[in-house]
Amino acid sequence: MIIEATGITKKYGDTLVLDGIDISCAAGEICGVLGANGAGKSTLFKIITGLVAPTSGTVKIRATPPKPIGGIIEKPSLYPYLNAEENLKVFAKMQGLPTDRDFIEGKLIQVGLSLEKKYIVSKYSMGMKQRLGIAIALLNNPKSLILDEPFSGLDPLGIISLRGLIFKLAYEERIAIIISSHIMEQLLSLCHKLYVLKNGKLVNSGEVGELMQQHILQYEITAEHIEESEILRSYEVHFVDHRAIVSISKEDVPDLLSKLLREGYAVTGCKALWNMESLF
Amino acid sequence: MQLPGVKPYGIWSHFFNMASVVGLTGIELFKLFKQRRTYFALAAIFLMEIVVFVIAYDQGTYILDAVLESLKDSFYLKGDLLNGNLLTFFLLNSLWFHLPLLLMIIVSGMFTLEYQEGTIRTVFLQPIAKWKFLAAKYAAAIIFTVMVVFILATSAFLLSYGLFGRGDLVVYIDSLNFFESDVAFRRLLFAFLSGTLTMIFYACLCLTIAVFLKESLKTWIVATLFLILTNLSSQLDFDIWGWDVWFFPKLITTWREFFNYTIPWGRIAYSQLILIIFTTVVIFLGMLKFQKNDIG
Repeated sequence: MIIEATGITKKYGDTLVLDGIDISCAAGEICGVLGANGAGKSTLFKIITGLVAPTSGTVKIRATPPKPIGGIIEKPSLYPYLNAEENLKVFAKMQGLPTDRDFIEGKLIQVGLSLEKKYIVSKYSMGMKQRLGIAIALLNNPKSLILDEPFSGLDPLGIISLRGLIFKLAYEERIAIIISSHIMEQLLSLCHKLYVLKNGKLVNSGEVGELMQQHILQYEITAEHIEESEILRSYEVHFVDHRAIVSISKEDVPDLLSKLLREGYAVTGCKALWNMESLF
Repeated sequence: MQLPGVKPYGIWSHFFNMASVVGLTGIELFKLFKQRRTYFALAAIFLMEIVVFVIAYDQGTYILDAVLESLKDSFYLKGDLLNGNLLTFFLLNSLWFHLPLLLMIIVSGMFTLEYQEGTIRTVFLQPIAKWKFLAAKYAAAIIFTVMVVFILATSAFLLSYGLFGRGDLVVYIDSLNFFESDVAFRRLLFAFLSGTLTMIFYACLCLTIAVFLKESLKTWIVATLFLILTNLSSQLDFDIWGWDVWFFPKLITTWREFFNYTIPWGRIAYSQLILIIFTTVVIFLGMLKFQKNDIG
């Protein structure tokens, strides 16, 4: 494991914000932290990155100094009156890194930005700010990365593009990445492991596949005129437009889909619907 | 027991730092001069200077006529007494409230804006020692303050000598004192130097208040309150041992000592030393508080 946090507890006065959280992430792995607003995700990330000291518990980062971990907490916080190049130079110089044009350009290209854009960061879109924030987080080549709500404020294209970048960092550069979100779909499509936080407690955790087995209650099947299917009448089902919401176990899904195909329905989508009540 | 290659991560990791305080100070100054508000403040100081000159010229004629009516027959005074030296003296008198006010706004922003924009988190997600980061902020604040007073003094001399010429200086401090033009210039220079130390104290104090309060508005209110109380209480006199030496409001008027007929060098050096001690204590308190606190 690159990141290993054990028994993390944080109290502010009498308020218990985190209660004995265990979380780990290996090289090349993407781990998701799911939780509603106020669940304690950002506090956990601040503790992992060393910004906040835990009341109890330990954080170990298996990486060499000077920078074992990089990250963006809450939002990409940049100097709004500087442009991308100047922001990168400032943060590079702070840690004694080169600030020449080639180095800075290389870092910008790594996250899909360029030196061409000379305007100040306050005029950047959220997607560009996220990319620049990641470029700063990646300075000094950390072995692990923490991204707190990286998709918030992004348009659909921005989300797809950022997902691509996160995959690349995990698979090609073998960085251990922990991402938080309050939207489960965003994490399911990215992560290997999922940690579910509720009111500062870890209420569920495991491989995404395992959690699916335990907490998927229904499947949403999309096909033209699926509401007329005879096969589906033998299942517990309800219809929304051309989608059938079927209560069925994971093992029975292939069988149902082949029956629907034989019945003449061209299935265009099959999506697992999680049982949020049992997950949280 | 640590595993091989496993490093503790947390507060101590900030000591794995690479940039020097000098390098960080350069970054702070770069950031400061990239912000438009810095130039607004400098423009405001320059505007203030011109306004003070106009008022000083207008009222100076009247005051001088009244005070010197009887003396003109007994003394030979070289040049017009309403000259550049006198106007610079008036400027010195009136700037020690307005200047710290503007300095405090700019300097506190060096810290509070980092919290407001969240950049303090981005900074400490890099391998930087907390104490070095704050020491660089204090260093940048001191350099900026010295630079502002230097610009102010230079422009004051250039404007006042250019517009009103040079001449002997007459000032009233306990009694009427007359100084020849060259002597007056030197004394005014010393006064600016002494005032610079006071301004540095205000700048450092404001940065420390910002470290404690983290918010711009709260910092401005507390800093302004301190400035007002200091100015009001500088006239307070109590027969208590050390009052004139250790009571801060008494120290900010040290520059006026340079316009006594005989300069009390010993007293000035002592009070400036105490001001330096106060400044060091204020910086130390800020560093201690910042080192102890979470970044959040």
